[in-house]
Amino acid sequence: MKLDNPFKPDLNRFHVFNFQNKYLMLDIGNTCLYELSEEAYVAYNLWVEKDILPSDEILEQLNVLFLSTVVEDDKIMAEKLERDLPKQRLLWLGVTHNCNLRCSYCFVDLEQNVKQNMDFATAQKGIDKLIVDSGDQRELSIIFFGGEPLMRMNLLSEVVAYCHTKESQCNKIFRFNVTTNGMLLTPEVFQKLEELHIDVMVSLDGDQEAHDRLRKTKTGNPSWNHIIKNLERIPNFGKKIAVRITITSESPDYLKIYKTVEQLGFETIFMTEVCPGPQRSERLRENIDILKENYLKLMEYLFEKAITQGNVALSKLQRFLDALYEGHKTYYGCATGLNGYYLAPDGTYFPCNRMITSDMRFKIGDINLGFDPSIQKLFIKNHIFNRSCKECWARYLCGGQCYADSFWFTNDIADPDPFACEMIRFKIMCAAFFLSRLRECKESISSA
Amino acid sequence: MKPKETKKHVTKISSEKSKQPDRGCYFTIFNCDDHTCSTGNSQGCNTIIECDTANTGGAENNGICKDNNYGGCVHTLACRPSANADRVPREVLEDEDSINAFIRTIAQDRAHKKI
Repeated sequence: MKLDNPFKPDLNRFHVFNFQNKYLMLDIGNTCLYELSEEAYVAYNLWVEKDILPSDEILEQLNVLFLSTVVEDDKIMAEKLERDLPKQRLLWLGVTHNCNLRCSYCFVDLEQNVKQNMDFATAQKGIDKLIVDSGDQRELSIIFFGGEPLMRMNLLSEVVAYCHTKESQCNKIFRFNVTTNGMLLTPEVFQKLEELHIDVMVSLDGDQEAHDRLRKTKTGNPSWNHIIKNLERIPNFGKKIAVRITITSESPDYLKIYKTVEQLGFETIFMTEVCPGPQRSERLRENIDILKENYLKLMEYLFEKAITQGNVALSKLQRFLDALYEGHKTYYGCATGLNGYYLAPDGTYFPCNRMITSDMRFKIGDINLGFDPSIQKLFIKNHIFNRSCKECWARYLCGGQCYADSFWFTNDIADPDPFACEMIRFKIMCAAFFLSRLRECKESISSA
Repeated sequence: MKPKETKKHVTKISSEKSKQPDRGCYFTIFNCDDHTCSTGNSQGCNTIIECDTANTGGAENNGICKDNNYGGCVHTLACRPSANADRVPREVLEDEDSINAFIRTIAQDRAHKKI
């Protein structure tokens, strides 16, 4: 007897793949992950390719999966996303474009004849605007950015004090964060940051060799040793300070880089490939298979770490694991231009610091005149349903990539770099594989 | 006679409690891996940037979205108690639904059983 089977293979709703001999099925719209038996995987593919129905036993189990699926209407969802202007909740405050380093890939052009240091009045106006534009949202974030923001410690203190005066008046809570190159991060400065409740993230470029090649001082000297010496003088710095690693190598050894910062003591690790354009060379693209192989080695290491220490400690992986485990969805690649903006020292708004171009095409407004709705609209409309992403199985997990990445490679914020897409899909598959192994590990412990 | 054992061909890997988009409860997570975390604590958090429609509740858990707290909440699954003890409510850190809790459980069980 053949079963009445509501389940039908649908490439737009289910992505089925073999990763390291695990047979996985992603319910795309629900970001829900399943593991198939090898038999079911083969049968499913035969169904897709040759229209041969699987056995009743397999069909019955696939039907259960179908019943748990809710299909979202792309058109209705797109209209919802575009209907209302998002409320602002995040302000990157570019307190200075001056810096004590000269990193080869920095977005700031220090030769440009523009105001390099933000004054307090500009910061104050930015905060006031954030408060107004945030509406009834209570929780607001200020991220101090640069240049090197620790060159403006006084301004940081003034901003924090001003925000505190506004908290009770306006029923808001502010959180603060600073991204620093670490050159000025002495124990005394760190203590001050802790007193101000400013969380700290330090930028490093992988290992010492890569870091010193790309992140030099004004006089051309390497900076790694100076930064590490600073950090080592701060007790338990690895527990208190996060690290952001920019991957710049053409064939990065992710595991080696990870272990380098782990051995330094960092417990919270962010790792991102450098923005494309001139920096993302053809060689890196040619090396994509090596990159994947290297990334997989890192996954193996992190898996062991997870099951022995209960901790993944890699933000990107964590994000995909969260989304797959808990069924989260995303419609945008980033908050920039939606509810987060970058305020440059001269009072000009940009969606983010990486979108400052000489032709100012992404200037989204200024502190006196407010935002330009036509530029804002560009970002509000830049959701997955309006991009080539709408056909991609990874769309609800990725959200459409970093807009700056897309722009610097394709000259269009809506057209992502295919290299980055391939890498992100690979990383999502790694996370799926990781999760299925965690489940397997849990089951084997339970039955032991 | 022993009944024939059915082979398991489809196993759910995501949490049994994983959130289904029950129409009207849409939310978005922004990629916190870029530059800094918008929660301002830089501890590897995801931030829900846009909630809409019928979800008027909002998150008042000190800004922490524990679960299905729609309304533009901050979601900090990866926060570490050591760095954020004064910021993150304990119940969030112990949220049994989270992937972190799941991973911690495996590690604890494994250590307990000395596997």
